[in-house]
Amino acid sequence: MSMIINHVSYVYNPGTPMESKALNDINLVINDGEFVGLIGHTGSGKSTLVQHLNGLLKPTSGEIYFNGRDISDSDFSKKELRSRVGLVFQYPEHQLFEADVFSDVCFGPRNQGLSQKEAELKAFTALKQLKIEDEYFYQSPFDLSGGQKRRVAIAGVLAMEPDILVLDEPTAGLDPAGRDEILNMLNDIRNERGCSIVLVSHSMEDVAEFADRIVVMDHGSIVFDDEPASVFSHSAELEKIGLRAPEVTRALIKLKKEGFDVDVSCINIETAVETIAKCFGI
Amino acid sequence: MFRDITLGQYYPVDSCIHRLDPRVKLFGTLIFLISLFLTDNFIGYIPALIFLISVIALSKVPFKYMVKGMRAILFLLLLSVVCNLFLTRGDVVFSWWKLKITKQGIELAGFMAIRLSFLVIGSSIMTLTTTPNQLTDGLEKGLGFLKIFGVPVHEVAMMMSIALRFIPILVEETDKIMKAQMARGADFESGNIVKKAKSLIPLLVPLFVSAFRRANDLAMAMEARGYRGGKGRTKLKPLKYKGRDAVAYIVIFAYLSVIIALKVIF
Amino acid sequence: MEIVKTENLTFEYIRRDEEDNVEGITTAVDDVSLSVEHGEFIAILGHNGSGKSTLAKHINAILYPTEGTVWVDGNDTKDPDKLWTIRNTAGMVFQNPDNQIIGQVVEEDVAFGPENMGVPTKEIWERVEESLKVVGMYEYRKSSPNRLSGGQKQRISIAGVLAMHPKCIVLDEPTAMLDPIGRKEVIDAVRGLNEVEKITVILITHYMEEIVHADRVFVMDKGHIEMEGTPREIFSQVEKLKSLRLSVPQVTELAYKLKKRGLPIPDGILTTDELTEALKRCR
Repeated sequence: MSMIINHVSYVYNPGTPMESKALNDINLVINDGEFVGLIGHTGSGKSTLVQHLNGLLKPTSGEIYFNGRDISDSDFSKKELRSRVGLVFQYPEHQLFEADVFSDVCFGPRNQGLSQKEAELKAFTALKQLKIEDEYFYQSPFDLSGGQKRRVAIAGVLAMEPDILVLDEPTAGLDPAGRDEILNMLNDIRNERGCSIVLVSHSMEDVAEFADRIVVMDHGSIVFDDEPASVFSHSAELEKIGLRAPEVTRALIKLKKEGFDVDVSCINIETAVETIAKCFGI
Repeated sequence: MFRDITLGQYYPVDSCIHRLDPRVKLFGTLIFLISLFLTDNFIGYIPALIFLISVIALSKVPFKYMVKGMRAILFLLLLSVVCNLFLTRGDVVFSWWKLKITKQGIELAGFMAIRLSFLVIGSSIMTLTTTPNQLTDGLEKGLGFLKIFGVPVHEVAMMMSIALRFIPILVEETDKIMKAQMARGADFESGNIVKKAKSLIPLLVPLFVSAFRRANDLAMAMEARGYRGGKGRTKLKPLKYKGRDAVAYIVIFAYLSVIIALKVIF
Repeated sequence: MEIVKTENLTFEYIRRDEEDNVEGITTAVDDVSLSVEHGEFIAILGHNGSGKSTLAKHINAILYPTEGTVWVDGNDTKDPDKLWTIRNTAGMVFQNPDNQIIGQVVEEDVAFGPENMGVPTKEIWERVEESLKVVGMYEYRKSSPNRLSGGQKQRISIAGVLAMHPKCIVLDEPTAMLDPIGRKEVIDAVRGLNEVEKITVILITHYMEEIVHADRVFVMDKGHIEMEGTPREIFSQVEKLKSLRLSVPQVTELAYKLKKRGLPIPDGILTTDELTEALKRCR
């Protein structure tokens, strides 16, 4: 179920004074079951790019292939594409509308043409995976806490059982614990369902832990596309485009400069502790 | 689809019309509209045309921006022309099948077309040369006398100004919610009217919830910044009449007199 | 006299179901007593729903205590005659930048507060100019707020409060909806208020890196104040913070774990430089 993005460019308001190039010759492959971190600051084009993945925006030039088929082909139904590529927007809680949590999550599967029973089954599984307890199922989604709303909204897309789940800054505004909960759940979803995950964020720390690959965007172009440790090793270049490698990596790079024999490719705290401890022979 | 809406399409350029006090422009527009309805013959439109052309020239706004406003009422204009053309009784000039065109019909159709066009261009000059803010300020101060009759002029002006500030935000939000629901397979386009109306629920509910939340937040923010109604408020940009405003008032009254004089004579 | 003082502040609200029947009572702020001195930079930290925002709204007299008392510059917030004095003394900046900008032009928005206070026109202009310069947004004074970035909008909101010449500014999660660049802009502006303008700042946040420059930190949980101290004192309690649904900067956690492994590293390391220095001493 791979997705191939081939020389895609996108221009907003072409031919008007407001014309602006949002994407510039993007080439990207999203493989089966991969966890991809898409990083860039506001205006880097990352949100524009993800809207191409499910056909909400059409490339000005270039093609996007899903499973070998061009998604802009007239016989490729948008409806099918959207249920294969699930897109969760930033502040997804703003899309909640039903009277109770359960019906809201059923909305997507119902739109796929599933029977009420099938839809409910999928909604149930999705809500469970996002760790929403039964007692909330028949409450109004508007009465939930911020973190719960966020999770219900993600469940609403997950219930459509997409092959690729794309999330635009799913942790924005959440407290540290809420952030970690969501990130861990996403990793579990990837492992249990085998779907690919594209996580859009402006924080390297968010994606360092779970991403197989990190794609860095700046001014509508892809600057890096590599394993986390390799991307973070370009600490200086990242800083130039207003991004930063995770603090652990920066600390290790500094230590290395000071003559400590540490492994700078450690990207989380546990491995960093080990490599520093090794320097001291403990 | 919502991006095309341009409200209060202010055209930023410095001209003597732009610099006029918004109260003068509001009053001038009102007089101009009244004059259009006072006039019932072609001669009466000559001073109106002169007035209009001179204001357009003075405003430095390209004529095509005025015509743009016309596009919105093109259908209305055509309808009125067609109706007047075919449905007016009188001396038949041309007839084909059951349709008859009369001399009076042609006159009336032309007359209505001019009246409607002048009306739209006249009012668009006001919105093109006045920022929505000046407009609400002008309304607030110009209609301030209504306060004696218990009309909440300040509150209405404040509401207008807040509405203008939030329209672009809500338009953008509508777009976002629509996309988010489309990603969940919502379909806003196909189906009959009933189905289409029903498909709007997933759009409207979040939009209203969000709008209420914004209203609540905004009310709190306004209170926190010491807002307590119009009483005792001062202004960053208070409206003050200048010499040019007096000149403008004289011109407006002169124009009105000409129109009335023509009406009396012919 | 303290600029802000609360004594046994408790705030409860009643939850109702659809038929307006009372479902239960939630205590959002529970017996909080604290005092803030003039010119201090205070940070209030807590996870979502810890009661920190509810506490903040008491300082501006948007909410009133169910029990206990709040004084702002010596005025009891429950005294209706003092309401406007209090709101002019303690300004407030909220989370969502879009929902607190009233004007359609930057300078008109900044003028909103002074207009409400009845400041003469000439002085409003002076205040608008001075406030916009403090937050570094003077060149945008004629812009429409809709064209600005989130960080810029928040700086406009700060200028709008600053133009009221308050003695104290309460910022309720001003950076929660911003990207890292916007967050930095806002935090820099806030530090400027405190260090240059000598205004008392009360910053509510759940981002740990934003409290580093505070004089004192309060950590809230379930409406209580759970921890109080300097940033370094707070950061040295890694486990406790985690139990309160908060985290510490990665480098602080790294130092903490290295210390547990037996390296003689001091508590509360806040920067990579500090860690490097500490480790050099271990050699």
